[in-house]
Amino acid sequence: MSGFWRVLQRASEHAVSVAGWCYLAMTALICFDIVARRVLGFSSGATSELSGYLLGIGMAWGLAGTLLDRAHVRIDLLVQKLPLGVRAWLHVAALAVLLVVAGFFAWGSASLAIDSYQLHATDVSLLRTPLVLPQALWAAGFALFFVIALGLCARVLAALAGREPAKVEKALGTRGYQDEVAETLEATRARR
Amino acid sequence: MIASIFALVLALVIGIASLMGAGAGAGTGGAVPLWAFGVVLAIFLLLFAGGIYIGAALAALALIGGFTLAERPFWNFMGEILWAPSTNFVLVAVPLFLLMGEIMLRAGLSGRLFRALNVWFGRLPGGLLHTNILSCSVFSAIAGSSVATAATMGSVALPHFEKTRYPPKLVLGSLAAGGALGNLIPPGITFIVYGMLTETSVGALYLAAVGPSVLVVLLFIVLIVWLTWGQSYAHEDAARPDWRARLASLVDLVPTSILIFLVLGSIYTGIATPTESAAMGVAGALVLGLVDRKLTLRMLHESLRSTARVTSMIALILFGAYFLNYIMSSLGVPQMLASFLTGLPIPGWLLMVLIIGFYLGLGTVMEGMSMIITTIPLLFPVVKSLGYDPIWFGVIVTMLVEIAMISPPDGTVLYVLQGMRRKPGPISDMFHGVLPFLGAYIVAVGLLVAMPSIALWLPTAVRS
Repeated sequence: MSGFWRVLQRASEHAVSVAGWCYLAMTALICFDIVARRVLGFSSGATSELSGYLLGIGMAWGLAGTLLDRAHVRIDLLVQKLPLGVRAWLHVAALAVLLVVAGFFAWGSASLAIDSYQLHATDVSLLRTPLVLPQALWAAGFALFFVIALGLCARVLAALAGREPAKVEKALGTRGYQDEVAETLEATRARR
Repeated sequence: MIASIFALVLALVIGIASLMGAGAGAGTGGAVPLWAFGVVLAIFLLLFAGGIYIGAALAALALIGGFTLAERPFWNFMGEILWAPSTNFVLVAVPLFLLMGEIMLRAGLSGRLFRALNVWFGRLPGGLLHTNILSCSVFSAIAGSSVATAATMGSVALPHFEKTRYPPKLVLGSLAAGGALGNLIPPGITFIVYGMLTETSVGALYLAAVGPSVLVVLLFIVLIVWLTWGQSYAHEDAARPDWRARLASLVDLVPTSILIFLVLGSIYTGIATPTESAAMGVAGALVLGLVDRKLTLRMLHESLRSTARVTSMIALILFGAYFLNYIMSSLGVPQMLASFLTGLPIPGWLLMVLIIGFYLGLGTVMEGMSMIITTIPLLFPVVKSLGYDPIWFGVIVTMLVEIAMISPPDGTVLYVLQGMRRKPGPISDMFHGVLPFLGAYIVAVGLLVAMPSIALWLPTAVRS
């Protein structure tokens, strides 16, 4: 069970990297388009569509890793003031709501991709990209997000049943400013 | 605390006013009963206060509203609702500006910037403090994030102050204030998200931000001169730089100037859209990193991952907000709220003051970007029907978000700087140090409310 979880964890780590490289590909694509238009006198005619797809895929693929890094935004001003036992329950409640929402998102994105496939829908750019391609990749990101939320839910429920609220806190407690500061400092220090 | 007081005041005002002028609101009401909104609002507050993920809370609310109140089967459009913000070309600029900032943060352009500016401004009363403000404002013209601006400039500036007699409160306060320029001075990502949510031109928002940015920087400089008048904090044997040193320092400004020229120049001259200029900015930052031999594959990879995390963090909130907006617009809620609030027997300017107060209060408990994404779809129709300019309001909201980032006790920038101090001291130093600057920032908002032309003259001039 925990072996499978590690695989999932690594998958979401890699998905975050893929999302990052999507953004670099976007940069290259847009820069190429500017040069082509200004200097070479032609336009790819599909840059805004393609970079839009890369954005969508990047956003969706990064969701799961961001959840595991506890970086999705919550208002924890009140939660922080409560005792650990109550806090653990609230963390689980937050994750449960997220799980339901992630399920709807995964289902909605997948059915959009399936619709596009059945209707042979293409975009209006010069490439006539079949919409199912970007949409399937995009939907895969939501599916991963849902699976990670589900796995995380199982794990924290087990921790709750085993009366280990500290474990729940470790998996779900929001990153305080300490984490953010440490990270920024890490980044600035790396360059020296 | 401040937030709850404001929420209470707002609720009281609306409650009393609606008792007096109930006819105005009820006349425009749709098929949805008022009590249903009360229930939805209560669930909303419960979810937020209970620490539910903001994006999930918005979407959960949409699900509840959709299943109980909506007449059309919204689930058939679920995919479409999510696909629209996922592939928006304006939004493409967000990860790109984030990426540019992440690369700059790691490439160390900031040290040279600080030294060069110090050669020029070190002789003014309050010397190094001006350098703080100015290097922050120059840096934020290329980076889109306040936390990154404060952290980068802090890591460069704080060592400079160790041999001087500057009071730590002022040093930290001026750095925090400089950090709060990060999103206001173009190009900031707040403007992109605001522009996308309200369908206003991001380029026009960037033009409108120029006047207020200059105003805030000038107010900060005047404030520092006033606070340090007649004092000398400089190191005893600090030599007066001669003209040769001054000219030599200009070389250090070259890389930064190139990036500013590339990003802002291409937007303002209309050669490129903000999204395209963001891509050029990333390319420029990569080239500068290569020239400086700071760019490694590992550094690039880290910058990309960091960008991906922040983008997905914003994305979850956007998805939730778009879903909720879809449900609410199909129920006609924004129009109802707008006609209800504008129908109240209170003047428009008071409503605007209440909205500004609401943002200041909310900013102390909520992170800036999520605050904008959550509230703008509901409040924007109100502001528009009150007759305020959408571009002007975008600048106001961005300034309020920046104020939130440096307002005690929850401002993120304050804790970033506190974490970077070499000589340990209490966090109250930060709080005291930043207060005068916070005051100056609020004065700037007040001036902008009184004289909207500070923001609007430039977009108007460019358009004609």
